[in-house]
Amino acid sequence: MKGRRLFTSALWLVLLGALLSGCNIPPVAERDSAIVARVEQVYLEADGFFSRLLDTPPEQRDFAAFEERYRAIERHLRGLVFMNKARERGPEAIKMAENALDIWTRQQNDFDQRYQTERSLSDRIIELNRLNLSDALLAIVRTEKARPKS
Amino acid sequence: MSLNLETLLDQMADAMKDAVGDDGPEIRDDARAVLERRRERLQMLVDLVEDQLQQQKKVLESELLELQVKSKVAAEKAADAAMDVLLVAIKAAIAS
Repeated sequence: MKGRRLFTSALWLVLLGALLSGCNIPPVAERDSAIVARVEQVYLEADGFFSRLLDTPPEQRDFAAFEERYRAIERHLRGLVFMNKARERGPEAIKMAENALDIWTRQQNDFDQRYQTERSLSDRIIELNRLNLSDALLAIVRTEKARPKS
Repeated sequence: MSLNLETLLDQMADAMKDAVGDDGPEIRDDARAVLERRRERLQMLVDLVEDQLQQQKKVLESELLELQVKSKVAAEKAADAAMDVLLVAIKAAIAS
């Protein structure tokens, strides 16, 4: 209910802005199925990664053993940022991709540092990290699906 | 957001002192020493909370950006609908 009210307020603000600026709204980028496919690919790979991490006994969660997988998913996310920039998909799309990348690199650095001191990573942190990345990726997919079809 | 652990330990020691009443001033330094031994663990806890909060901030920002794009899409649809009505009216006026 609150979300709907916020959405309506935002819509009126955009319409008011459009009227005041002579209807000069920059057009919203069209839906891009390649972006959706890339996000879904990242989600599936990251989800598999988190499952493997959780299946590993905590005392065997050696950062070095997972580093390569971290880097591979990071490359996919960097590719997503690049795709959004290269296709000029607007500041929101670029920022959302950057946010997903930021979350991922933050998780990676945290695991690295935590491993140096604790030699492990708890299930709770892994679950939280999984939810955070999933939420950030879902926001991108929902936004993409709300865009006009080409 | 950044928590100052030094200030936090002092505040925790003060709270412990206040909680025990008259004997508080005497145990304050001991309490501070106990907390000092927990420094490393507390620092890890602070780092964890800060890191998770930063992640939450990024997720929230993305969800607000989603709302922004959806608003723009809705505004475009509304503007297109208004223009359609206007064009139909103009065509009708020219035809009559």
